[in-house]
Amino acid sequence: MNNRWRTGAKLTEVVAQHGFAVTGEVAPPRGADPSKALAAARMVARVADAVNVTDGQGAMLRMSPLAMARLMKEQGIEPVWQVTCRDRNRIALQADLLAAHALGVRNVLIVTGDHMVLGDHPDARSVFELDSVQLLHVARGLNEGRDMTGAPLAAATNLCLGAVVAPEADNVELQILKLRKKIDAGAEFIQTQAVFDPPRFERFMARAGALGVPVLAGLIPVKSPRMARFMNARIPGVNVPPWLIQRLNEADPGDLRAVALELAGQIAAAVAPCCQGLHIMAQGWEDAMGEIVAAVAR
Amino acid sequence: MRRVVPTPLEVIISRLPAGAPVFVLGCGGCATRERFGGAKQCRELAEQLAAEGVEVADWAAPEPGAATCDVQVARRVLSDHADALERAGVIVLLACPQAEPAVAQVTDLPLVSGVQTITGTTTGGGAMTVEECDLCDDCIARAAGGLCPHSFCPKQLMNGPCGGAQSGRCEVFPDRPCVWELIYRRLKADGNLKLLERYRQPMSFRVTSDE
Repeated sequence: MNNRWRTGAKLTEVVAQHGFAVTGEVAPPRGADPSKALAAARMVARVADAVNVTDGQGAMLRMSPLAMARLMKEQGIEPVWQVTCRDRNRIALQADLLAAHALGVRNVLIVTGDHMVLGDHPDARSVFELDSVQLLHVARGLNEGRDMTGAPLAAATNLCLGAVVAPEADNVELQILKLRKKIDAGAEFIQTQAVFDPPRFERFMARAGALGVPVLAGLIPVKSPRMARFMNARIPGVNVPPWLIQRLNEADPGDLRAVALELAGQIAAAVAPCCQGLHIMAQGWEDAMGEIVAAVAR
Repeated sequence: MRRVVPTPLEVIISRLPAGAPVFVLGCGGCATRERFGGAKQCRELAEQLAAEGVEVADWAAPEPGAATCDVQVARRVLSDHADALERAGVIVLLACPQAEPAVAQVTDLPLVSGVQTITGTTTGGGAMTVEECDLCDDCIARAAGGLCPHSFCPKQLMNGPCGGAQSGRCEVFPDRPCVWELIYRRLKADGNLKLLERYRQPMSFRVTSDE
């Protein structure tokens, strides 16, 4: 575990103390045995201050991330529990937020969630009863000791609330408009969708920085041209630029991993000065996260 | 947009209990207006069934304006035809699916629907059509250039778009535009983007009784 992390701390406290934070992510297992996912989380935690645990990412069935977050805590890994609005109504969402506090989870990332049409259970009933802005409002209310009807709770939560933004989305104006609403609703930190265009990100930060909450730039190491094409076709809000695909295409097959990591490191180093941290989605390359982070220090 | 269209005759016949005389029941509401369950369509179906050798007890359609999804209408029409229903073994319903529970409350006869619903998302040229209005009391469309994100957005997002639109197309249904893009363009053209800054509260889904 990264030694500067005090287990149970809020992500905002880490940023306040150190000026910069690194988070990573793991997906819960597609089955009932958490051991491999926990091993991946341990590897990420060697480099990261906290490890996001995704909630049915890509609308694919996986273990409850809340259970996974608790299992991570038991191993001294600080989780950022991701919660989507896709699968639960307002009662279930509030119930899980209360449970998260009781289980020792301190950092929560609130997102809308990928639509089930894109996942492995396309016939599922979509809930989306609250959107991410509304759920942030509700979570802040729980922190203040009341449920969303205004009724008092026997004990308040103490959760550090995070939100996401897609800085390279088509319409960044609308993204910033919604981001502002999320911060007004109670978001205390931001983790972004993957960034590939540092100058564009800098322009985004020039506007988002004024919103006054720490922003962790999202990074995905693109492992191959094939992965780039897949991401562009299938991952919402992600645009791997042609120059990066070109560089991967030109690499010798034997050097592909080194080139991919170098490119990820370049982007990390370019965006780090204008934000408050990195959120690295290693996509199976958990063991290489250290190299990407090291590029920032160089 | 959801539309109701006739079920093919052979499919209706395949769903009938063997040997059961049929009573065809229409509707004076949408079904008459949209011409899939008015008196004319009921009579025609009765004739077609008879021509296929199916015994028909009778048919009936409430007068225009009287909708069969109203349980009072269903009860009145069926009691007006009590004799024919005595002979019937099944009701073929030419009305939207909403009418089925109303009819089921006033008769023990089995129901077979003579129509089916289909869902389409666009009209010609990819223009958006009104899918369903949720009749919200605090209409968000008024502040969104007349475009309702709650009806059009697959995630029913009320406070702004997700991050997944690609070239202005919806990430879930790439054959249609992202409604938030359309809202943005319209409000921007009108100088009304400020309208989007307002926080939209969660909707109420409270169920109430009409009785």
